[in-house]
Amino acid sequence: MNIYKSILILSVLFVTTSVYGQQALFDKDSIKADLGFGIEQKLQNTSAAVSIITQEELKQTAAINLAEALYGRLLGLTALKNGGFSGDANYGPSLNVRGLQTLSENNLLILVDGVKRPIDRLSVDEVESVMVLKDAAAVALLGYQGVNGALLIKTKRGGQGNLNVDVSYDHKFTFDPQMADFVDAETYAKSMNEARFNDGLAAAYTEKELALFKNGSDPFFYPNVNWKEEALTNVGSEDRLNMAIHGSNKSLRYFTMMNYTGSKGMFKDTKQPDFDSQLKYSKANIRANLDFAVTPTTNMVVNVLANFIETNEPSSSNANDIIYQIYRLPASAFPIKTPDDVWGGDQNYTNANPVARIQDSGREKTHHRALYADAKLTQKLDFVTNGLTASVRLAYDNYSRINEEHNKSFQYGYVEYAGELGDTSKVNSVVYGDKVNNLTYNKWLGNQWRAAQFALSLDYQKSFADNDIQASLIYNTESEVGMGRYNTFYRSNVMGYMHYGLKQKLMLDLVLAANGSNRSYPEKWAFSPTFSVAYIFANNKEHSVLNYGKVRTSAGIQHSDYVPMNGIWLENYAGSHGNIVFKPSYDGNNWGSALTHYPLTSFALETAYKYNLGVDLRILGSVDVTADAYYNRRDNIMLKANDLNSWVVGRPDLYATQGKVESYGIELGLNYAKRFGKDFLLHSAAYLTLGSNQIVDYIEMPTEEYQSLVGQRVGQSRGLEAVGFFKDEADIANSPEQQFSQVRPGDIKYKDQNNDKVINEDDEIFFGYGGSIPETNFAFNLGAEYKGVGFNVQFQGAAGITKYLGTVGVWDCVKGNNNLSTHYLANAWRPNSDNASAIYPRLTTQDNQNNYRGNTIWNKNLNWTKLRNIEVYYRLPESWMKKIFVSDAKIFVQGENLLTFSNMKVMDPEVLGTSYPVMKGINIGASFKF
Amino acid sequence: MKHIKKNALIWLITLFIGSSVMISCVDDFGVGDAFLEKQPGVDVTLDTIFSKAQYAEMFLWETYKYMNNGHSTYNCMNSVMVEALSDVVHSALGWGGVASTYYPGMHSEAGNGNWIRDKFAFIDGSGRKGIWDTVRRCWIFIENIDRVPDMDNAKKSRLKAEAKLLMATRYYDALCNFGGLPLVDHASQTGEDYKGGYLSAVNGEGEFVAGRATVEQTAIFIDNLLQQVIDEPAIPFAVSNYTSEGGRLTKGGAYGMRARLWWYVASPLFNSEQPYRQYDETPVFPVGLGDDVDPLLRVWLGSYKPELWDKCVQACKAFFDANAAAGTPYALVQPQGTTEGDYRRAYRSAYYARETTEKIIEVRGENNGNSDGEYLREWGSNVPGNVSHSGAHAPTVEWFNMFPWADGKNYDGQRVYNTANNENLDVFAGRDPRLYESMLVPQKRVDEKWNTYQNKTIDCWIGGDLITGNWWFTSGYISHGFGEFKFVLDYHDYADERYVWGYLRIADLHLIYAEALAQTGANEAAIQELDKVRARVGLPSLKVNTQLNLSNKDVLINEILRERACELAMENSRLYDLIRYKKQDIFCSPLHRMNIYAKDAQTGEKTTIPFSQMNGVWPNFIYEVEEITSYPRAWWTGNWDDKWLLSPIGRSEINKDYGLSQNPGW
Repeated sequence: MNIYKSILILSVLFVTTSVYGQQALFDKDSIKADLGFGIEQKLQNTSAAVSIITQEELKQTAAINLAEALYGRLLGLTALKNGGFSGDANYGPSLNVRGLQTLSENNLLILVDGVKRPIDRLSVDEVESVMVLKDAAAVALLGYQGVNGALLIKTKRGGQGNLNVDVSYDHKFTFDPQMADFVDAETYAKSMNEARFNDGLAAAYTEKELALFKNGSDPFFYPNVNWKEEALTNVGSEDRLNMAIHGSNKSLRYFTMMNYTGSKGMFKDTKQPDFDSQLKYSKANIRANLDFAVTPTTNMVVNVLANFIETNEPSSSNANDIIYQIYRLPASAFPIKTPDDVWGGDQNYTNANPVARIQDSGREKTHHRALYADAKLTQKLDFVTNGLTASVRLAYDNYSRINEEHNKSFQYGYVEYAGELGDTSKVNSVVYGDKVNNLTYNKWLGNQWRAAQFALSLDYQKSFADNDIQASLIYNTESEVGMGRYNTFYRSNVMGYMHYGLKQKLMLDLVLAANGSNRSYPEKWAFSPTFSVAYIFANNKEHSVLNYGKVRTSAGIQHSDYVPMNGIWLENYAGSHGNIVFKPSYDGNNWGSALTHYPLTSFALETAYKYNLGVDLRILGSVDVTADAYYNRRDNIMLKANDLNSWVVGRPDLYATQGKVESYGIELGLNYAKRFGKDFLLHSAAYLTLGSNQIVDYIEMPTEEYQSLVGQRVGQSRGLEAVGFFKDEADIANSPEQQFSQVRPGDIKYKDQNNDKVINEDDEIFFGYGGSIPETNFAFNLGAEYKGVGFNVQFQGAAGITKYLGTVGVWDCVKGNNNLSTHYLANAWRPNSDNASAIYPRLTTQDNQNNYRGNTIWNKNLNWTKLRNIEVYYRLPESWMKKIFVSDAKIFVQGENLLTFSNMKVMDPEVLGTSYPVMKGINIGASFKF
Repeated sequence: MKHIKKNALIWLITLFIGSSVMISCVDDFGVGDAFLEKQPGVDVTLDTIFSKAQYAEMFLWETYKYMNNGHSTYNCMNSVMVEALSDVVHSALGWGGVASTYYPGMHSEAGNGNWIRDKFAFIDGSGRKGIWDTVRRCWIFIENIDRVPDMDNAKKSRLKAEAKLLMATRYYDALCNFGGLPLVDHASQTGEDYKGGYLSAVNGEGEFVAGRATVEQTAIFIDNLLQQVIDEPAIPFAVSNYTSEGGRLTKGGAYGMRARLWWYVASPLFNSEQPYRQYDETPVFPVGLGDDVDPLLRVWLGSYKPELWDKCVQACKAFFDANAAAGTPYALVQPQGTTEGDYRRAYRSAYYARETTEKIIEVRGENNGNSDGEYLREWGSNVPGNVSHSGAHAPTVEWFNMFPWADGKNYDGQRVYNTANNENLDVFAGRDPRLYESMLVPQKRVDEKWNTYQNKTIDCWIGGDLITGNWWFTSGYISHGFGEFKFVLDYHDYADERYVWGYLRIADLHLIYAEALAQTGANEAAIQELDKVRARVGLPSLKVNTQLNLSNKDVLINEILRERACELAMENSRLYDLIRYKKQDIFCSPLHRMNIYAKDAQTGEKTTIPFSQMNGVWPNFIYEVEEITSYPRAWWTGNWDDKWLLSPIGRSEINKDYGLSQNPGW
């Protein structure tokens, strides 16, 4: 907590006293905010809340994909690290704008060149800029899906010069996976004895057996396996090779690119005679972005991205599965192999053996094919009236994934002494499963989707005297067809956009949108008006203090087409498991056995009321200040209304539009960039966002007043308040009865909230924060360059989040024969010892309902500050380069995830769980422009 | 050049517009509002279900699934049968709901509907199944079956009657566990006032009353449903063709349920001068929702009503008369001969097997991956085969002591417990054959198929080969000295015998009849009924126990309860007997386990020698009986509260304030 606080204070101090993100402040006159459908506003004039990042800053990271380059880079965008292997679909951070705004869907709309597209396979090298659209004015044209904010990605286009060639190559070493540490076999066995002692049960291992675990003299019968070491090499690698050719001539601007990205995982000894099960990822992006001037009044834009991906992993176990087994398996579970050369395993853990899964189960490959294509034709219609333009846009994207498996199964088992310990003549050898030597081949369609968009717009633009007028009429339809039934969505918008500018000082924007969707059928259409104003009170580059100043505000009523289940208006009788057959039998299905839900007859689409007030300043020619305050209110959130419904009716689900949530917060950003003389450049940026939310109306039946969700946050952590651990039986006898399971000394003691002398579910309270989006987010970066040598460092941090500590092996220990972390053992309540500093309850082998439930021990408030990126680079002097026809050359070393400061030491605070761990990375690379 | 460009433009525009119409090439493409039509789907509606006889039948068959089956995980407490709350078995399954929450007295009103926390669910929740879903399905079926075009009226009437009886069984189950209930007389529609409670007058007329009906009203409501089934000519008294209809509900079932209903209602739990427990604080109701009823009448009849026992006698008589009139389709399964094996097979068939005359109402097992749950599998999804190894229902000495000697005399072997057994009494030999079908005890000769035990002699005493050679004996199965045998058998016969849960079998009805007769003073007739059940396993009349004063009602009732435990325990019966008679003393007495030792032939000392080392000579035994200390029940140490006799209703449901009241004490 103190570390986080001091870093926060330091960063703010640092910024306010001196410093600065990008190497130069944005030119607000040339950079434009894109509101979709070709409607752009100069950054200087826009009345919308947006923030932007360009190629230059994105390149400071060694990110394997675009999303990974966004941590703390955009004011108002919360990017949180996830685990997983870099080849996994959807690999990358969770992205959010302005926190949780509703009880239904909080996802962000991601647009690539104006079309809703996935972000996870984009490379940093093909992106020109990324913009986050935050307030009502910014997303007014984006329809139902933009209601929670949007991320708009623009890819590069052809530019100046005849023929430019850019080449870069990066190699990243990944190492030091952020995983918890576990105890050795002897300690585990002792802890198992202790847990059983705690449970009032006899010891599981004798002293003699403990000694065998310790000295390792009998490794088949008393093994001590460090699964982490046996299964993982702890190092991986990533490669990126990029080549772009771009340029322009009179009628054509072109940007073409080929990008190769590869990644290799850290599984050990994956090379087998007949297969290699290493985690592998390789991807090629081939892009062509073309702008044709077909006639002097006709322009055509064509963008095509082809995306080819292959991945490789052990068959039937993906990267996360293997890591899960390592977390779960204690060192003493079984040997890697038995003396009979059978993989270790037993009835309890079955075929968990991660080494066997890596080395003897075959491999699975995936092949992804995606094509993203769009084209837009724009025709000036000056012959009708001056300033009139018409355009039509068409986009078609599709994706498929084919899985290909070379699978085999392995036998697993264990040996135990049937007679005396060490008597190898009486050995019980147990083997499960069938051994299959030949790989069997399977293939299937893993996923597929397709989407199409068609848009027409009529735009009018005119300036006279001090007045600027802009107006657009837009018609848009989109279709989205996912895999499986009930995944076809159609959406449509008819929109009018009006802009009025007076003397480049006052800007008025109005969007009137009719949005339609079949998802919320039969309530298809909603009218969403948005109004925004900006007033530029200062704009003078030469002014000694205030170079620029703008206040802006926006208000809008927008909607979401969310429904909790597709087809909710339909009466639907579905089956459930099991059936009873009276002969003559029917075909075994159980079609149409019960009404799944009451069909919804009264619809109201979820409505968002959004307000924003912002200020943009430029001071001293070198500092940009942005501040925003927002208030959003959601109404008509569709909720499960079973609490309005008596169970006695027989309980089909009922839904009602009753939820209300308000969310609010502030965003503060500072950017500094200044050049001192010819050779020295200093830049820095600091961002801070604070946001929270509150449920205003909810359908519920709380037993106690303090259990009402109204007034709480969305996803607020809930549980019992721990007040310590039971010292002894007398302590238990003198405390209120805890009704979850029979308590013993070392179990968690809870507070009786309602003073009824028993502790049960009625004593659960709300505390802490929500569990998904931190309420405080901040980022800080600093860079400097002197004579071509430069560095950048970037920190990102968060606080105000409460997560449940339930990771198997780390906190969910020993019981269920789970592994035990050194962290837990060091902090657990121990019998016969001074437990004043114990943090966690006693070890147990049983399903302890008293301890393992939501409470103030497991629901922990987390905070962290991470050194996300650090870069040192050298731009080779032009004089050298000219000789070899190179216009620009840069070599660099970049580091990622190198440092974490947090109140959570044992694991990565962002990635609590058993997914493939976050690794540190050192990237070296060079880029050349010809 | 200019010309070409112009043409190119026209081509481009044409291509654009043209291709946009083709945007989704295969499907039709709409414009504007038509574009947003609902997506294609395969919707099953009520109209679809009742458009065809086959679909309608499937709907009802699915509803049958939710009948009470003591082995279904819907009804178990995390895989433990409710009988583990009685005195016949004690659960050693630590993670089971009985040992983890019920025994320590941890259950609370918040836990109803939780899959490990209550013996019966009022509301559905995480794996527990209340009755209301089934009731709704039945009403939907009754209200809509007339629409089916391809089914004749007689068949419709029959199916309607089945649905009513099905509903009656669910109501009966809930009555036993909760007392008075909300009475649902139709399937509610969208837009109805769901919170209103449902009670209307029990005969389809009268006032709307919110919340729970009284015990008496609930009983009359159930009785009324049963009467409608009895009055329906289209439903047969018994299924005529087991192959095509086995398992379906019949008129005989309605007669039987009626006897059972009044038997339960007439029992002291409800039918007494005083309610079983007073409220600590009288429930408060919202105005107009339940405030016009004394909440105690929802758990009590208000006074002792001896005429209810007459009603039960009449109902029993009506059943047996109707059964005789129908050609006696229901009858006790009789042994093929007079050996112990014959008796055992007859008894096993009676409680376990399909296609016998014994079951008046039978419930098919849940689908466990083997067709329709015809077989209980050792590791199948049904209880108890998957948990018995761990002693989920390990038999107690108390149950062991209930089985008489084979000569019909009550067991008196207790005298040699914890002694040197100098008289060398073998308490495992010469007992009621049902003992051996209920629990695994040492036995010299087994004339059954014993695959698991490899035709060995059952030497399940401490040190016996059977115990040391099978891992589950050491993992709880034999926790209290005896292994579970009823239903689990030898872990082999599972795969052979087609099984069914006997929801109501005729042995139960004989014993119900006996009890009702005893309650109404007809002791002689009562003993005659009782003896019919004993005779099936070769036991002579209860009267051989000349030391018992069988003309004393209480003595006779106790004998009937003991007989019920021998015949019906583990069939969701014993626990409810204890509840009906408010047997606080039994609930509060610690149960016992037995350490069985073979005696050394020479020294008479206890040994741990297996039978294989005894040269074929069956040993004598020493019986060490001690209190069970693992997973002790809270009430063994004085924490009994009469509230346990009925289950709590989920608090979240009461909070909806439509007139439900909690049962006293919760």
